[in-house]
Amino acid sequence: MEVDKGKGEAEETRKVAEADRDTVTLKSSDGKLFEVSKEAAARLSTVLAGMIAGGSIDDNGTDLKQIGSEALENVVDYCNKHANSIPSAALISSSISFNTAPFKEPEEWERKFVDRLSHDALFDLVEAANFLGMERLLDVTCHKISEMMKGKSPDQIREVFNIKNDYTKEELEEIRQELAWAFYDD
Amino acid sequence: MEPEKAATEGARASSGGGEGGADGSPGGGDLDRLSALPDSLLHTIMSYLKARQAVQTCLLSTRWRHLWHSMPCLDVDHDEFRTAASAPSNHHPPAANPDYSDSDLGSYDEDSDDNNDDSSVNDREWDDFEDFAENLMHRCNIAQLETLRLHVNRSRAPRFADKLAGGWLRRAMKYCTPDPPRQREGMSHGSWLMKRMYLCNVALDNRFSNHLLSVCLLLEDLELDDCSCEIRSISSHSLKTLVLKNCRFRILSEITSPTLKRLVISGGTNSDDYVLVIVAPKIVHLGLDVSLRFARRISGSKQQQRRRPATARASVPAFGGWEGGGAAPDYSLDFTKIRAARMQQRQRKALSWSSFVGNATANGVAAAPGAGDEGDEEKHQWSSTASERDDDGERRRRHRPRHRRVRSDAGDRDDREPIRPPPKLVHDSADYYSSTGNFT
Repeated sequence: MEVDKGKGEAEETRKVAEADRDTVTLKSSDGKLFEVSKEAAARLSTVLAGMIAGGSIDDNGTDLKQIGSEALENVVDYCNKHANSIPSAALISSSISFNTAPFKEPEEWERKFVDRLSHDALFDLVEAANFLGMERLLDVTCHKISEMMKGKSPDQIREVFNIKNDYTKEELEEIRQELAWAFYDD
Repeated sequence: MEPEKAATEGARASSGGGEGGADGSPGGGDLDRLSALPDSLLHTIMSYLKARQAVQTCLLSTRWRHLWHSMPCLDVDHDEFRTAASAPSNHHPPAANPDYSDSDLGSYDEDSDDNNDDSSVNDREWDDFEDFAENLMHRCNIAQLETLRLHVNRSRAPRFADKLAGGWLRRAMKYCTPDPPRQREGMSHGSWLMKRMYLCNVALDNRFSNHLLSVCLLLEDLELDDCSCEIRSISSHSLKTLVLKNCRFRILSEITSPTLKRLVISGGTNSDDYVLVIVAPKIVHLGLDVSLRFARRISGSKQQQRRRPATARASVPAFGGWEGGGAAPDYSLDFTKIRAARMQQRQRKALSWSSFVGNATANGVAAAPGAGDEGDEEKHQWSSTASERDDDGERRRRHRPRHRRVRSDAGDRDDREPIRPPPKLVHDSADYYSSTGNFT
């Protein structure tokens, strides 16, 4: 299944390379323009795919008012990198065992891609990916956020993400009793 | 949390909170961007966490209190409790599970001394895990999950842990329906929403396979790892990927799925008295890395061909099926992988083959009862590496006559094809396999 898909993707990218620069122009909320390959945009984003198919792409820059220029730059960067990445390594490694996690582990470049982002840029990117319906990018960014939570106590997580504890002492105690089976080592 | 005692809901939202976490937060300003995300994204994030930590997020703030109830993915992992056990502190909150205390302790006391750790620590780890898993699977509606991963670590679990884990699953199968009002009626109505299931070291029986066929109508990926399976068939109308690793089957005689695209059987055993028939007309990738003894009794079936004789379709090539096939499929891609996987596992004499089947058709069967001598030799080599399996094998050997009778009683299953190829062919193929097994 994945083999076929991989081949398909490779063919697609080749086609795009042959058909001279078939791109879409996107406009961020603050008016900056970005170009991205039509093929990558359609493949990675359900929303852009719908816009392309529906002909609602503006040659002078399709307005994406919800997305700031920094986030949009990351989105475009991700699309370009994704088009250039070679999926074969992941394919081979998945041939005998498969991942039961909801998605395949992020690849090395995807890991690096999200690792360099600042806290705010990461969340901007999550929101942009959510808005554009970019499944894979959402998975990668959400995975990154979960890595930031992994193995941390609730107090530590609150600190990292600046979550305000709005429980009362009594409520906390109530939850701890109700869910005693989930809290042993406190 | 000092001033919050008197705070109302409204005041809370605007108050700075009592915890003072804002000072140390890196780069996030004053905003809590995480909690501002929609539920669906928080669920995605939580699904990458192990189940216990995911549940514990309910302590973060009121925003998080009930999120875990509706998580679409559960990763119930024995290993998550390892740190709790290795922690030096010895305080086990006695109030945590008062009704459990010594119900089953006696049954696995003898097992705990194969671990170098203090046995009480080991027990506690299991107690915690068991209590957690039981409660969690009781409170979450398993029928509404998209993904379930239930992982018991055999090396650190008591002897009957797989049976207990099987019990949790059976309970869920009995009581969970996607339609909450109907819950607890003891009857399952409607299909589960589950798409992926991964079970490690869980004991399964025919109730599981029935459930698979009649209730898990959306299940696409199933992986059974190190499970002991008293199941006759694995049949599904939706399964696309099936991975069976080191599973101890005894009576498995059928794998049927019209949608199956990928099948991997790696390691494991099945009783000699059953031929495993695989009916998977849409298979694209088949990987087998099993002992010769097991592989001889795996067969593709022509069942589907008979029903629809005109359709050209790919089917599972049986053991030996490629011999007459002419064009050799390309095995190279998988051999490297299989070899690597096999190195990781115990060193046992195994044979491996797999293929990307294009238009190959099933035309042979590998049931060769005549080759008993070699089979026994093979078994001997196998069992010398794994003592437990040896026990298993002994038991099986002792009971073999009875199974034979059972088998002959059921001998009227027409669609199987217990062809007996001439002994020479069997030997040829055995040689072929052992040589390809070493192929580099």
